[in-house]
Amino acid sequence: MHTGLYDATMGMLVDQAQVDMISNNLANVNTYGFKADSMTFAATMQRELYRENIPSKFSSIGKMTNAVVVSSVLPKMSEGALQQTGRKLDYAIDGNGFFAVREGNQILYTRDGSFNVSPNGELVDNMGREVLGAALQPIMADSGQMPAVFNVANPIYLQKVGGNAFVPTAQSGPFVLDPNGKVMQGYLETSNVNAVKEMVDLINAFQNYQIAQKAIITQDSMMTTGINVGSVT
Amino acid sequence: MLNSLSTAATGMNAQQFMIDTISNNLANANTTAFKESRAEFADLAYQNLYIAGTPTSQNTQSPTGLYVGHGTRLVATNRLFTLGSLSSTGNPLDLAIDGDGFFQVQLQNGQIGYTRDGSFNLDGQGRLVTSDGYVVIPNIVIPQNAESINIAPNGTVTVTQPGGTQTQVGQITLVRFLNPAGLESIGDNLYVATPASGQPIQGVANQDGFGALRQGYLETSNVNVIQQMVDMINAERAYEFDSKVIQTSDQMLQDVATLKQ
Repeated sequence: MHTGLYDATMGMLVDQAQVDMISNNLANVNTYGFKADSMTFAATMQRELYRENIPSKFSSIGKMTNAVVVSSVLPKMSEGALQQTGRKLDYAIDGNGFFAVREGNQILYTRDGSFNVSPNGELVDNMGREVLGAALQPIMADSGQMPAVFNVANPIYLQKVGGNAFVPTAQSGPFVLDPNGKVMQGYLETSNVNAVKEMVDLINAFQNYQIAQKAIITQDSMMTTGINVGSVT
Repeated sequence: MLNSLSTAATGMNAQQFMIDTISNNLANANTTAFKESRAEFADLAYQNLYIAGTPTSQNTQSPTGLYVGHGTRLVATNRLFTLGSLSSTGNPLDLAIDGDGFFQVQLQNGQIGYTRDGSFNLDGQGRLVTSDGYVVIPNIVIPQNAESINIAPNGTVTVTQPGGTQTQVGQITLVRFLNPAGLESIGDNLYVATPASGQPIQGVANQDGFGALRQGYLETSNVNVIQQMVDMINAERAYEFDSKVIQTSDQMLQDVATLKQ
């Protein structure tokens, strides 16, 4: 069969995955502490081509890759713009690092520092998760204590879990306290989604999608022609 | 059918809500003691096709993850209890709280309402009431023959009666909350306590962290109109971007449909 038919299909699927990602980035353009994702692609299933299809080291005419796949989706950890709010329970981290919040017995990490006070006086985030201090203890809101900053060796390998939170993975390394982390009160970090880049990527992905679609249609007509060769009209 | 369609829809919903919030803030830009709200969002759960570190063979691991997000959701509308500016009115029954605190008023259903709007009046019985007629707690009754009313920064209300005699007729007390952002707005510039706001803490103005009372002043709305306009542009454009994603996804589906000739 035409391998090209499958190549083009893979192309369409990959472009669709990219549009899904762009869609998520653009939906979160006004989400505090959000980190945009970026996608990389790779050509795979490389195979050797031979003259007259006879495999030998003399008849090789080069290599051909038969598929494109998404090779990675990674968050971009660049800092979003800091927005001054004047609210004393708003915090932003100037530089690298994350705030730690406790959800049940799990500790999550976030850069969204829009905090509130729980009925028992603890600093909590918008989802009611306790904000933690340097010793991973809850902070009393009126104590004047700042939330602690934690960081990992490779932040781009953190796993996103929704709710503006990240958890460490084997590749990111464990979270450790960053005593030099700079927390700014009365500020929030806006989303780092670059809407211009996302729109350009959207156009690109869509164009590639249409090209792949045309490739499928072309090959379909070639096969139709093939079927009709020799038919008596 | 396509993730991107529903993902972009969550974005459009979120931006729509942001515009709603901004619109209410702007509509109340001249409401006495109004506090602006801010819509806040969080990303939805991610679908992990595999996470970073997943084994790809016996002795290799994938260095990166592969996941797809599903959009955004509204998590909070935070009310910003920053101080509005104080504007002088010269009316002796206008009170502004210069700092933390709320006035208490009696609601019809027996509950206590809290407000920072101190544009007070007197009712038929001489009681201090809000402009909507809610009676201030503790009750302050101004004698009919009072010539002037003086309210001290700590809330003590003194009237001057014919002959120059000065009589103290009561004291306005304030309350504050651990988490004022947790108060529920019920309209008419009134709030009621919720489990999130915590119990009201009673106190005297100008003491223990409570603001001082300023007679003849009203607190203006704390809406920052310029910031609201900028936020509105942000929300409107984001709405537009999301709608473009929907258009694109629609076109993609159409392209799929035309694959079969």
